[in-house]
Amino acid sequence: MSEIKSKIITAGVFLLFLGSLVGLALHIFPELQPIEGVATAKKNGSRVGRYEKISEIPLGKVEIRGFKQMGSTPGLVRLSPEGSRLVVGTESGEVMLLDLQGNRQWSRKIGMGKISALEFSKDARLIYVGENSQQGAVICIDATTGSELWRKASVDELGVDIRQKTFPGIMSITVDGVGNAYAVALRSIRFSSGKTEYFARIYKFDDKGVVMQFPRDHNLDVWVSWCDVDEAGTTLTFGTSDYTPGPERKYKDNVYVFDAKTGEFRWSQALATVPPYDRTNMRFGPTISDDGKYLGGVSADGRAFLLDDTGTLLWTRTLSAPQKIQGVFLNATGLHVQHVGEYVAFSTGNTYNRANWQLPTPVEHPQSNSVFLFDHEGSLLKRRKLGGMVEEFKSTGNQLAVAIGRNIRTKETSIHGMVMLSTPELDIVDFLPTEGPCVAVAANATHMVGMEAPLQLDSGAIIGAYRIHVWKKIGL
Amino acid sequence: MYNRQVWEATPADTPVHNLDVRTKLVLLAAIVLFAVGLEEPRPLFLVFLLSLGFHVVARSSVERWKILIIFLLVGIWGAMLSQALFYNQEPRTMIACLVSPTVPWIGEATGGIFVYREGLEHGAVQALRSGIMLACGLLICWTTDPRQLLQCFLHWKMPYPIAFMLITSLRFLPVIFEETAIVLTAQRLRGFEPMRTLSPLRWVRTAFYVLFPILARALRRAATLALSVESRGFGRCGQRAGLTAWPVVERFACLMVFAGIATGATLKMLYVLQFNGLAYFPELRGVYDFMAVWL
Repeated sequence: MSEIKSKIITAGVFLLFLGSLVGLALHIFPELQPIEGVATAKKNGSRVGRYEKISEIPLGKVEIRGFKQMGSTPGLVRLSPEGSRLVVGTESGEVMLLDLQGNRQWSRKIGMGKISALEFSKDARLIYVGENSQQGAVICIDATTGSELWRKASVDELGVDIRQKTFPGIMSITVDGVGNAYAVALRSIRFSSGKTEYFARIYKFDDKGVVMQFPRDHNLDVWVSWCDVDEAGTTLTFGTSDYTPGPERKYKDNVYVFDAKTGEFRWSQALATVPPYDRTNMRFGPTISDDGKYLGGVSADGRAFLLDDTGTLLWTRTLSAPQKIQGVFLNATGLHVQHVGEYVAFSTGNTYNRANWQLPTPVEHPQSNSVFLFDHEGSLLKRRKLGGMVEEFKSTGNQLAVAIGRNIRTKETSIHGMVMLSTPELDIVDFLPTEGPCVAVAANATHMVGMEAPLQLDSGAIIGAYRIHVWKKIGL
Repeated sequence: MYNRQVWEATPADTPVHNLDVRTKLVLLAAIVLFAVGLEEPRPLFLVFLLSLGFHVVARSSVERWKILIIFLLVGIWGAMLSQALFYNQEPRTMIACLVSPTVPWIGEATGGIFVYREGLEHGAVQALRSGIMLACGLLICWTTDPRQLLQCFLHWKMPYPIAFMLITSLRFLPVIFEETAIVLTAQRLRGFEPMRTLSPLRWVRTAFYVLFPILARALRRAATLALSVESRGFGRCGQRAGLTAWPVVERFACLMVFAGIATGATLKMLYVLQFNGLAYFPELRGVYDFMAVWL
């Protein structure tokens, strides 16, 4: 009897140890965790039934943020142009290529840098990864094998201060339709006097990694975090920001356009400022329509702009005006712009306190967390309030896929997820809820891919997880 | 039935048993240095699996596996639990609340007791480190004759009294466990049930009941041993048996391992220098990336 008892105890100890080992292994090697498939899809299906979830892919651990922390959980996701694969860049510096069922084709760590930009080439053969590190490099990866083909560091142009940890970083990458990629690199230094110095440059790469720079022989002295190019690869545009403006700046205007083929400067446009702001800042724009005729931009102060390809300002519209309440200005920041067929869509973000954006606001700005759709004549066709931060949105040709994140004021969690909006009605084609906030989106006519992040509620409870959801269109 | 032999080295014909004692000690030192220097959980976990693999190669018995696993389980869960409760670095994420800050007395005094996810992870890394050392240390104890160890230490010019104490403590380890079993049996025969409840107070009482007799017996045994070795001329210089020749292949392998450790330490230093903003060499970017991901 006691021998049997001893054997049972021994077996129990061995099983407990094995269980502990497997648990540790699954946590340390998240790629070993099973992919959740169709069973989960039914559990977390869509609201309308136009989409069904086909996979859920865990992305490992990530710092869990609450409502009080600055910014969203980092992460990027892009669908390949032919729509059969997706590439994911995680907060831990891992780049992974997956098929739509969630099967991993390859993955690689980029090392000590942080992934800050990610894009497929137009022919889907290459993947461009931008990183923030001592070298601030663009890394070109073979999409088939995952091997590195070349890398170009921006440190040669922008410099680096290892001691003060002011590193260059790639802020965004975009591609044209003729095989070139464009990357914006930025380094900023904040002095104790409160003044800020900026060094920015835009790089153009062909598929061999041959570089052209904009401007050719010097750095931009303002904040540049975004650029766009037309399909033909002829027009390159970028917007500027400056949080400590002064007369010494060379690049005082807001929108700049260069000839993408020759590198020649074409024109720039200074946009009027609105009180109480002392400068018009553009962080995620402008974007160029596919035909290259229109440039849409949105400023942080909440205004939308449309310019033509000669630099003429066609119209300006106010998406959210600053409101003075209890002695402080509240506003909803202007965020993104997308051309959707013959329309232009703009988005606004969470309500913020201009005196100190981390302080709570007494009310929610009425125009916050919204998508606005205009035609090229400047007529507002529709506005859709989404309840949560518009983290990212993507045009699929005639629809808009929107990732909805936290609402730091209402702290409502039922709004987290992805929404597909029709144009020009901005009707909700489908809402695909996620537990945690959705922080990134990729979409085409048949699939929607969203990146979910975990969120810590004020009660201490954690909802959601760091993972990718893939939905497939099933309805008309 | 208590089996004293489970603690003692037993001869066998396995690759681990057949290794020269110097090779074993050098490899143990290398693995310990490696475990201390590593920070990433991935390589630590792989080295931990490797150290368990050595036990498979050495054909450790089920009883030995049981002892090893109990020690490892206590180490893993103890480190994880303690770190999960007392982790004080930022960022940290609460995953459970054991005592709410609003609970009178204990909640108010401590500000609440929470389980932190990052603490669990930090504890797991610490546990892997200690687990690697424990598994490798026990492997050497179980596969190496203590006399060979003594010869090896003396060959490496370790002072005789220190080497003697080291080996004696190793030899006494099984005796201590045997005595613990005897004391527990004696306590049970007198009606004491140490494992009847999980009350911490009872466990402390049990520890006192068990530790004092063991300590008394250990002191008595130490006095006897001291007399015994003194009467045999302890510390007098005399002719001692030497070690057999160290096989060239094993010596070369140890050299390579230590060259690898030295390289790793150099790379680690370079990484620390760049991390702290003291020195950065762009041409070593690939090395820095490797260090960030794996070491």
